[in-house]
Amino acid sequence: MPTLDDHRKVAGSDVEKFSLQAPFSSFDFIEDRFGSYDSIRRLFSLSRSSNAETLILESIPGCGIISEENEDIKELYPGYLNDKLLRISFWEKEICTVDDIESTSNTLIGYAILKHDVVPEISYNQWHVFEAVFVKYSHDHNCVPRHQTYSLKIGEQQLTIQGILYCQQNELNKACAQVAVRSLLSRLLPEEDISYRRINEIAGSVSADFSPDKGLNVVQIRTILSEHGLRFIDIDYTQVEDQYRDDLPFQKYAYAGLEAGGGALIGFRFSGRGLQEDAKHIIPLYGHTFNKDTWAPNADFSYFRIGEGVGYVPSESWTSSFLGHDDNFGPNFCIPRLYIEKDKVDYVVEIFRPGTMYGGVQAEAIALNILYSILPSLLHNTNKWIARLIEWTQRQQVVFRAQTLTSNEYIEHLKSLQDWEGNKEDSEFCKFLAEEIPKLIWAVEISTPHLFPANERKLGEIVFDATQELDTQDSDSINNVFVFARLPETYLFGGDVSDGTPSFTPVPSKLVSHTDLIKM
Amino acid sequence: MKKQATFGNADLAKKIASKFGTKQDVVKVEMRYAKEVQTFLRKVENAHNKAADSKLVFS
Repeated sequence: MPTLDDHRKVAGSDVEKFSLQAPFSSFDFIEDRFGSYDSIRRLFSLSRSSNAETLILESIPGCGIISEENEDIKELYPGYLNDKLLRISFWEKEICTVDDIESTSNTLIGYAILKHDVVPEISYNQWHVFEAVFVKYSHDHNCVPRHQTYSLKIGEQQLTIQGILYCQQNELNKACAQVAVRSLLSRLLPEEDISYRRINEIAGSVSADFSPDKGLNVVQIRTILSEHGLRFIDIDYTQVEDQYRDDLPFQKYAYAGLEAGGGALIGFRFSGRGLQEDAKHIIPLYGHTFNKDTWAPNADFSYFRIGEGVGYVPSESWTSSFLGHDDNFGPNFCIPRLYIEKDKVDYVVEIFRPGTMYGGVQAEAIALNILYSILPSLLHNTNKWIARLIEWTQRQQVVFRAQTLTSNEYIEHLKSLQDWEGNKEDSEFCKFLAEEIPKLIWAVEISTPHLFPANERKLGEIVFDATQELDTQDSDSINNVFVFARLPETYLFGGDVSDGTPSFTPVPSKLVSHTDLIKM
Repeated sequence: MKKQATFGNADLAKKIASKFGTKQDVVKVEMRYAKEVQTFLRKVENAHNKAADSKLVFS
């Protein structure tokens, strides 16, 4: 399938190069060239944080999805003009001439396409960031599962950059909802991007009175995801009882989506600078911080309850902030997980990776029942880690972390594991398993509050078929998706259910203690 | 006719046990929180289904 990146791979002209070292002033440069825009200032701030030394600025022609956007705005406003289109790129090392880019391509920190739109009939004359990608900070505490690799051209040089696409609204053919959706879909769709024309076409097919500058409603967002074969769990908290804000908190779904690599959208009421009191804003989330020493998991509010008296410690307890974009202010912000008050958040979407039929929150709930039920049957097991796990389970101090993986990714992970004693899994067993497990799985990793943050290790995982629909019609059929559980020294494979009681076949594992977590 | 519930793939369990052996006899396990998990999952589904009636607009 062809990728939608013509607008990124176009050659530039009128190339200018600037050393960012003092006395260069980003403030002066932005004010001279663009005016006062928070989003553009944020790009320069990110470049400063990454110690960028060089800025390259090029003019580019509007190609691909930018050309489409121009046509669509012109249809709405015949006097419309895309006055300027610039590509700026920030480089860690000094670049003397554009020809040097070839030898310094590994030091690209970020790029942005800046678009100047003029609509005389509505006195509109503004710059916006059509898109930008900045690599994440190298800090270990910033985690971006499954970042995307974007191809682009700077000068005549073909390059790639890893990150998550940031996009800004222009209030002409796109608002916060369209740009948030494009940001996340750019790493999930085989075309590696989506045009605003396509987003707006789908939105228009849902509502006859659709006006692209007014954003998207929930039904339109759902339809855009479904039309692209993406499954999701979303909650509109204004449609359910208030208790749902506590029982199914938005943070839980947001974390599940971003940790599995699908990302999440959160929609909230906001009364900040430049926004009307009743403004509803939506932003994409794609990563999280990981704070080993946070106190939060010790607090009761960190505990996630599935039902009366049964719960676990979710892995997001060690997350202080989500990583996301806010199109009003720019890319790659840390958004404190507990900062946005729960009664301000009206909508959350946990987007599943393509091909996945149910979500991480659901997988963790099923894993809880299986682990808490299986362990008492292993009481006579002599493995000390099983004994510890039984003890922690009785106190419900178990950490779960749900990951979606292809079968190849899981088998490669299993083959790479080494327990604390240096043992590795039987390679014949891994080879056999590779032929037998579903093509896409949920692996719910099992750990404990002392092992998970400090060592970033686990005691096993419970594996489910992610390609099957969940059948919640009766309590037994929910477990149809079970594939196996891996615990220290033991795999447990499922089987027949007799009188509502399932049986499990224990198969030996060479991994006798804790192993590394999945890192995608 | 209602599909018979299984707990994973019984054939896979037999195949893998015959090739790699078993640690102990097959264990029967009473699922302790089946009702709680079903109630929770249906609550999630219920909330998701109700979002179809949402009137929220994000601009």
